[in-house]
Amino acid sequence: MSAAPVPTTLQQRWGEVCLALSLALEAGDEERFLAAVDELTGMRERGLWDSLRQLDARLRAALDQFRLDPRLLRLAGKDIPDARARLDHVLRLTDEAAHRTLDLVESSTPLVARTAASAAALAGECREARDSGAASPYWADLLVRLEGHFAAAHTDGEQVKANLVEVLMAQSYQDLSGQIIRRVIELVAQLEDELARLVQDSAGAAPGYRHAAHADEDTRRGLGPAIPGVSVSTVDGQQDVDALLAMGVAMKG
Amino acid sequence: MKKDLRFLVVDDFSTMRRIVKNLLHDLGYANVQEADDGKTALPMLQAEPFDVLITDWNMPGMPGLDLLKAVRSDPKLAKIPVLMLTAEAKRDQIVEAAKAGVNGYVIKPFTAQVLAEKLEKILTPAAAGA
Repeated sequence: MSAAPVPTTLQQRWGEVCLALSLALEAGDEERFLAAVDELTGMRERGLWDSLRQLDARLRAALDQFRLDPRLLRLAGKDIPDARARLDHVLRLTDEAAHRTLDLVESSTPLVARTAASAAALAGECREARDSGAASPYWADLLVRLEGHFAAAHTDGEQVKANLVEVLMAQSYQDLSGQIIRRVIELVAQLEDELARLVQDSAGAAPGYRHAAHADEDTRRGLGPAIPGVSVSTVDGQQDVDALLAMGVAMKG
Repeated sequence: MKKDLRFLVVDDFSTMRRIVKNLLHDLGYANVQEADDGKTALPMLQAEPFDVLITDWNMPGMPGLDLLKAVRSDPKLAKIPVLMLTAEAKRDQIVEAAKAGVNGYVIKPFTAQVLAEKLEKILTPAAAGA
């Protein structure tokens, strides 16, 4: 009942040449044997070349599509340079705003310092005048209130001075955010370079990617402010810094 | 503390240089000069005597770590107290700065109080050269 076995794909493809090979070997016919070997290797290479050609065609098609995608051209030619210009602008704006704030802090601090100092002096004089006992009850009462006013003006002035120092310190955000923005600008510029090269390159020629600088070089140049969720192995506050510094000094020997 | 000390503040952001200069003024130090990176700072340090160097790390041109190493390898400048004032917060970096001979390290953002404390520490004779 059993039908003749159906030849497998393997047998269909290689059976004939293998048979020729083994018959030539049995017969000791070197010429035919070598011819069969040539046939066999030729078949094998043809398969490989076919695959390579297919791969090459697919790669070219993908690159063509990539190059011709108008969105990509727009990105490389306009959107990315735009993004860089915008970030530059943000940097300039925050820089100007911070300097304007610093101008005002610098001009306000001496004013409030002067007022606070003279208020303290006047509070003292009011106290002395009152303590001398020479003042009439009306003046004595007025001196008490004046002393209170000047003392409060002094305290308030000192508080405003302290607040101005805080305003000064708060401007350091411009440095921190600026450092982060500069790094993004650098990254965008690199992306722009690579995209421009990719767009220019003819299909088939692989663009040479610029490798990111080695981690050690990054460390030497500095990494910029730590960004939560991005930076790894960063310190946790000034106490941590002090401990590490002491450790490093000890290692220095 | 001697109030006539000469400070050199090195940072590529003019805002930060201004902030540090103002804080130093508040602490009574009026003699403060500025440079925007190590390349500008080094010739200034070599040309005139400074008592304290406060430097950022991440700067174009010559970064602060290179400036620190250049200062420590120059016999004329080797003893100058150096305070690093930077956003660089990796553990390796702080250890590296210490090994390169930094005297103090303050992480940005910082407070006026922390800067004053660390300055006082590096200016106390016992701590100098530690």
